[in-house]
Amino acid sequence: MTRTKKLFIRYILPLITIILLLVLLGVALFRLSVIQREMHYNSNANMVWVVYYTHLESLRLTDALQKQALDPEAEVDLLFRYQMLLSRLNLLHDGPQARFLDEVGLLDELKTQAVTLHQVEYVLTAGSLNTAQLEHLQHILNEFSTFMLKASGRAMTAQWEELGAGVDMNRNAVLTILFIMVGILLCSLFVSWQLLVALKRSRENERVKQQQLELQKQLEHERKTSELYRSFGAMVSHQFRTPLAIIDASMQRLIRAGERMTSAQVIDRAVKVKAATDRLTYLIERILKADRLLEQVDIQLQQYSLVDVVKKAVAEHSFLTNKRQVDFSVESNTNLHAICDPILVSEIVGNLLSNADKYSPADKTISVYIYKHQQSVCCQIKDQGKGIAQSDLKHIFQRYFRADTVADVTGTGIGLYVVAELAELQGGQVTVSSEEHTGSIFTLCLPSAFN
Amino acid sequence: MSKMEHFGFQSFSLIVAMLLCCAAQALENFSPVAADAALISLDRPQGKVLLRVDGLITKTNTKGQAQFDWTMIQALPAATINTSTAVTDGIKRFDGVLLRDLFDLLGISDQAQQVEATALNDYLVEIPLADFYKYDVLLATHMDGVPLQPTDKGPLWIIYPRDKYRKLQDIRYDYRWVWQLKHLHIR
Repeated sequence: MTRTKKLFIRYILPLITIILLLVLLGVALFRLSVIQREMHYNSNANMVWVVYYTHLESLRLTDALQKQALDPEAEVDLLFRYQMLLSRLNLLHDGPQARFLDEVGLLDELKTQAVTLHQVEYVLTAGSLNTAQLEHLQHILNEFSTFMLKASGRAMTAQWEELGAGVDMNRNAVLTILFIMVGILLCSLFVSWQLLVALKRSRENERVKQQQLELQKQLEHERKTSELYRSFGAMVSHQFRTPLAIIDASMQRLIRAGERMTSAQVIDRAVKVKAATDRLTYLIERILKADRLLEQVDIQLQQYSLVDVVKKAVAEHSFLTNKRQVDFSVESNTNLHAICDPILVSEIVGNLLSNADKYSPADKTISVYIYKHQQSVCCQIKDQGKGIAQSDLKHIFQRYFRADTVADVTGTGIGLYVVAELAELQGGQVTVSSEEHTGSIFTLCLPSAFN
Repeated sequence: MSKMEHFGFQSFSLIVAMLLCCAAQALENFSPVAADAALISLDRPQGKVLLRVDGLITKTNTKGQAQFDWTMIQALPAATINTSTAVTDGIKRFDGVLLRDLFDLLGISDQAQQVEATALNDYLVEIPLADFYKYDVLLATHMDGVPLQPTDKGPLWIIYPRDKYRKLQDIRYDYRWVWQLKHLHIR
């Protein structure tokens, strides 16, 4: 799918659909409001009724005249019936009714008829009627009755036409709205579908990202493991080779010399083999001990004076340092309390002291300095030994890592790893700075207060 | 028949109109009843009888009936409504008395529900009594200052305040505008 096509389907098409949806809704609302307004308008439905009553009054007057003709003595209120008819005529002349009659082309005839009917008023008010007058009146009323029949026919037709037109209009309007509703439904379905697709797409993206992250983590883990094995392999090949070579050489010598060897020589070889075996055992012990220590560690964090804790640790490890000058100093006038576990601090300090002892000449002083640095209290252990190469510094806390410069010294590369782990467990850290042939400085920093 | 069809066709529109009118009706206020109307004595009519009232009323001046002539009607508190009508053009001024005042004068029974109004041509329409208390319904004697004539819509015409309430601008109220009124039966 090209970029433009993608853009069109994902953004422009839904946008157009939403605009269409809004337009359709607007049109539907407008049509509905028109219908609503039309419903308020009461069509002038009483025209049929008005014509009917006018016709009725003319017939009642005719009826009264007939009664009078049959029996001149009969109690007939001709004038009243005439007035009723006139009132209906007047009603027909009023605005809405006159307009309707004008529309159906009967207004002029109505006016002529009305003039004729008004002209006979004097006959009715005069009192008794003669036969000629009666016949004249009946003739006029017959004419009017014919006119009224015509008018009622027109009124009925007009009314029904209007009704039909109204029904048509409403039906059309409702039909239009139905179509619009179908359009709205389709637009809504499309927009909903687009939303679902977008949601699915975003979830898919999220999943892919998560997967990539997971893969990266796995890769990192694999890389670390492989590095660990490499370091382990390197350490083992270095550390185990020498004792094994000693054992091998001694044994070969025993085999070759055989009975020619004196018992003193045999004992000398056996002591050498024993020492090499001890060294191997020591290495294996160290490797296993480190894992046990980290697995079983039980931290009891409290506030202690780091000065006291370190002093005690130095004293505990005096077997390492009794032949050596250890210079102990603290920053004056400062609160040097830290949050720590004394047992773990003792382990760390012992390890660092042991390293300083191992890698510096016996006549050089080791100095321990305790001071405050920002939110931490730190213990610095400085030796004047062979130092560490810059290229090795960044690997120094890795498990099984051993610097090339110390390949001749027995060690597993575990000590500093354990030191760093234990410092981290207490919320602190161990850093190192070193210069070759000058010495190394290891610094343990611990938080001065609980967070 | 055409009328019936018309009503059937309009039924939906009527329902909508009724719903719309609910809000308007809630806002409608009731005018205070003229209390002094009941104190006017009901004498026998001296002139030509224009209106006869009977049914559930407590005051009468002839046998079972209250009859009114022009003077008696004019003696009631005057009222005016300016409104358009369904059968004339433009706004007309109607003078007369409130039918509510007339009923108060006659002491209508609590059981009364409907008023049967009859015109000179014996046209008869039933009107709910509540109309007269809900709206200022006029018994008009004059239109635009001229007395209503029997040859027109007189002498008496029931006028609703059509322009004041949207609800009254409806065919279902238009038929209650009885003109040439001659008789009211309360039941």
